[in-house]
Amino acid sequence: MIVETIPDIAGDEKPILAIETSGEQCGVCVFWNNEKYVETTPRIKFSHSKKIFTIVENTLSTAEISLNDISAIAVSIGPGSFTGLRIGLAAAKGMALGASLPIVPVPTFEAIAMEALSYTKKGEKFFIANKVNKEEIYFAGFINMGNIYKFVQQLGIVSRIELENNYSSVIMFGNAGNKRLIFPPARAIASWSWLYGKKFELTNYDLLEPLYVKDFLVKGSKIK
Amino acid sequence: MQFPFVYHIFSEEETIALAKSFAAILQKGDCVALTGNLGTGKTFFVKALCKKFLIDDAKSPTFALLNVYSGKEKFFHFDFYRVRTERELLDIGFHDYLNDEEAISLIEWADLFPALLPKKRYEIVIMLNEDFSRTFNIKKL
Repeated sequence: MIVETIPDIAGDEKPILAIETSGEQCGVCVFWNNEKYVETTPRIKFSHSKKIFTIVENTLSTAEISLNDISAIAVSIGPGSFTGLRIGLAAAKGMALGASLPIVPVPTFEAIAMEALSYTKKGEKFFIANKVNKEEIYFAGFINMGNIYKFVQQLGIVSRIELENNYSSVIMFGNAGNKRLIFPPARAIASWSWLYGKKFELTNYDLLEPLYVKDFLVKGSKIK
Repeated sequence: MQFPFVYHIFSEEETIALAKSFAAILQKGDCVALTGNLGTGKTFFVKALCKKFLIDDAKSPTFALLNVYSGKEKFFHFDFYRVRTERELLDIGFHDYLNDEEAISLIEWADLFPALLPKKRYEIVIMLNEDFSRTFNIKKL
């Protein structure tokens, strides 16, 4: 288990509780600002459903606060793992409802892009590619503008073949890419929410769903 | 083993031998779609295949929908027989399992939901013949 902690827990501003479950690992972060946060990400694949509340409890405990001391719950909204996103959002909704907190849905690719700023140079273009299934890829392009990113290609779905043919020599993050940054750390989810999330806070989140981009609808019928 | 591969089998021992040969070419991330009527031996073939990977507890996932095995390799063993809609498979995170490049996926009754299958896969069709022999038709797509 990796725990990054800067436990100088004073200050007036309430922290954000961030949940990241869009990838293989489940991460939680209690975040005051970029200089002060507690992050827990067990290196255990697909442990989301078993561990998420234990991780939340441990992280809150390390930060020496309770849910009542939180300002909002930031949750990675996708795109990403179908099941992972649903677990993260269900957990966030449950906790938000119980503690009367707003939810900030954080676009997962933008949190990755924000994190990728420290892996790229100013003016450099970079892409993020994460698998939808064996044939399709969630894909978006960005440019590093210094301490902010800008879209150069809107989030969408491309085929693996198109990716291999047209983007083989670009800087590409994600699990279909060529760099080590694959999914955002929970800290990046919190940090995005801290910077941009205030106007996206939702108090009525009953109908909030993961952002899958792809429409997972029934196409065929079963024939026996 | 070269594909397409067609083989007539007259005994369980021959099925086990075929499963062993097929197991030798399987790699992490592969998907195997099995098709064949009730009683043709899909699960028997899977059990024999898994044995080669030191997995002794492989059993039909007809009611569980999915069994997970760990041996020399990790396996996801699906059975579409009781699945009513694609949505049910999506709801259990079907693509998340297939995206796991560390595991091998085996799917019985795969022909019931062809739209969900990856284009790159092994396809095994088992036919029961009148003399109770089986014909295995294995393709690499």
